[in-house]
Amino acid sequence: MNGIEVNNVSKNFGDTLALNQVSLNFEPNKIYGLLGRNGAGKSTLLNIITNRLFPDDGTVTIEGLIGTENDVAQKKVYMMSEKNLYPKSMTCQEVFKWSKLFYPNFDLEYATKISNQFGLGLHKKIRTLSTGFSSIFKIVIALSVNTPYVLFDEPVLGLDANHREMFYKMLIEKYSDASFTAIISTHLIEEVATILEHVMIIKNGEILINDSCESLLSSGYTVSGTAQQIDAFILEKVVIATDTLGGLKTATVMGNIDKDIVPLGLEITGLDLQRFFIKLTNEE
Amino acid sequence: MQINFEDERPIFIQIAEGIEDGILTGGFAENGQIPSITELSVNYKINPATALKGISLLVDEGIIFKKRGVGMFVAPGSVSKLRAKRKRSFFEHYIKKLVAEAKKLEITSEEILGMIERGYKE
Amino acid sequence: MKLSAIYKYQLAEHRNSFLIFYAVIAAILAVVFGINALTGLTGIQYEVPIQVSGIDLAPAVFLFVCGLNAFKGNFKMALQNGISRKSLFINRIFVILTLSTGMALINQIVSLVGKLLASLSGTIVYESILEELYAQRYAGHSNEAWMYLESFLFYLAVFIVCFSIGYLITTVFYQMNKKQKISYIVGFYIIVFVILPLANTLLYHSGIISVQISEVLLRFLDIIMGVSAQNPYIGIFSLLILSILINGSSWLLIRKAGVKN
Repeated sequence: MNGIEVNNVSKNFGDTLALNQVSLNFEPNKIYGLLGRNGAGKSTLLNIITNRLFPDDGTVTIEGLIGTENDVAQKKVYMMSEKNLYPKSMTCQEVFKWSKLFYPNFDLEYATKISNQFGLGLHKKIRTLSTGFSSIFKIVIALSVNTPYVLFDEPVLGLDANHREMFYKMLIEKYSDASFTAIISTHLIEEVATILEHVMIIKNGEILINDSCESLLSSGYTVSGTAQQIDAFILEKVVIATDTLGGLKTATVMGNIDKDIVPLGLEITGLDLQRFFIKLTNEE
Repeated sequence: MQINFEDERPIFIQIAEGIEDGILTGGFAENGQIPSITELSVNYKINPATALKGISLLVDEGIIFKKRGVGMFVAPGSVSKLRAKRKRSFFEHYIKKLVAEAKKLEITSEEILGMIERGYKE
Repeated sequence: MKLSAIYKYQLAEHRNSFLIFYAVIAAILAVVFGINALTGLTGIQYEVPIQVSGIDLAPAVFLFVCGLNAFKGNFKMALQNGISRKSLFINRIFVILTLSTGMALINQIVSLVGKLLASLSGTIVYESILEELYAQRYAGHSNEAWMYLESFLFYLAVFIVCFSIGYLITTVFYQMNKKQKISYIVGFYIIVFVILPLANTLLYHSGIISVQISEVLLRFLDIIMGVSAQNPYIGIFSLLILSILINGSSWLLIRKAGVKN
């Protein structure tokens, strides 16, 4: 079997259930979004896939190989973690040099090139990097490592708009050049939505949504108009959120829309993912 | 060409229509090369699969053809083909909206006709 | 054989401290013999010869400290680079063997140089711990080849054990939070410096035991190290068994260790 398979994985931290019977499949050469609020279990899941934590229950396989304590399987995966695991006294350059030893396909030339584009000083020690540049430093490795699976845990933490844009573009460029599986874990859904092919939404250690981005986007729509019209229109429809501004109203509606029955004066736009996501992952 | 993520139309449709617009306005000439999938996806920050899907629509319609290892080109005769296609959907896409807006503003059909004529003259 | 990256990495981690350590050792020897040479020129005579000893055990202390610093950073680096705990540990053992072998060899050279300089100076006695422990065995043979072989094996075993103890302590500490660490350290000191002496005094003076606890410990050490028997091979054997036990315990702790949040 190809890809990364997560089978019935559970994980407890003391009394907290971080993951509850999670089963997922990451296919080769796709870009996945792992979305969830802070503490939903995203990092725990990624840490289990990469053998940094042991699952209490369940298994992870990477291209058919058991992922736990398996160097051969783990060589296919690189994870850029939110937390820095590199020695703080090393310079970026030194870490790149070691990365090349651990991952023979690491592209030192490319790493140097994009470091310069980002303005990352290669002779700086890890300890001296700001939050933003610490993320950039890890992004550079993740984009240069050339493993079939690359996991990004909150990649744009602390990055300014310009650097974010650069990261997304580099990611797409890299992905177009030589396909790999990218898993992007984030709570900033709007920003990545267009890049993603498949979306998984996790809440309280459980998978709520596991669907292609396209069908998720077409699973609902936003409708706006006068409050009176909207109220009439959304009767007997699945409405996940409404916003009222004076006599005007906007509703986020799930389901397909039959354009011929939309009353005149109502404006239909695409599903507001951020609103959908907030609604879905809200604690209630 | 603009991609509007708020638009109810899927992104791949918007990509296809954007390129069609480019061909109709002469931005992409017949037999001329159009941007690669990578260029499109990087430029619009979209998944390459989405861009490919949009381009495939045009390839299927015979608007775009691929030359192996070279790139993608606008097929000869695409402009007239696209014009015919757009004309067919002109009523759906534009007239209906126009009339809806006009009704909101209480504009009569005579007034609209007058405006259209003025528009052509300008 | 191609050396694994995690072996190279763990070995490289010790490179700087290794170089500094031997720079210091060289400096100490240079100062001792240098002063001696200078005073020799001035013609001052010493009543008692200067005794240089313990330099042979300095690497043991050094390796213990190295062991104390050898887990956390390497563990995180291994996890970041897809290296299993098993590979990390196996290569750690190789690194311990490499370092201990290297330093045991260098020890022989240092000892050779030390003895040479001592014999030249005439006022310095250069003695190793090994020669003190097994004095009868080595009396009069201190420069023979078989003694150097035994010395090499002995220090090799000592160094392995010292590094391993440091490594075990740091892996135990990795699993603990701050409170646990403090109570562990305090508990250790209380047992060794309060409870044991107290028990010793109470039990011995009340006549419940006829030999002091410290006496028992010393005798035990004497036996397992082969001191009375004047056989260093007994000591080497015991140290190897001990290192297996220590590293076995370290492995049990590392096996299930996870990255910390």
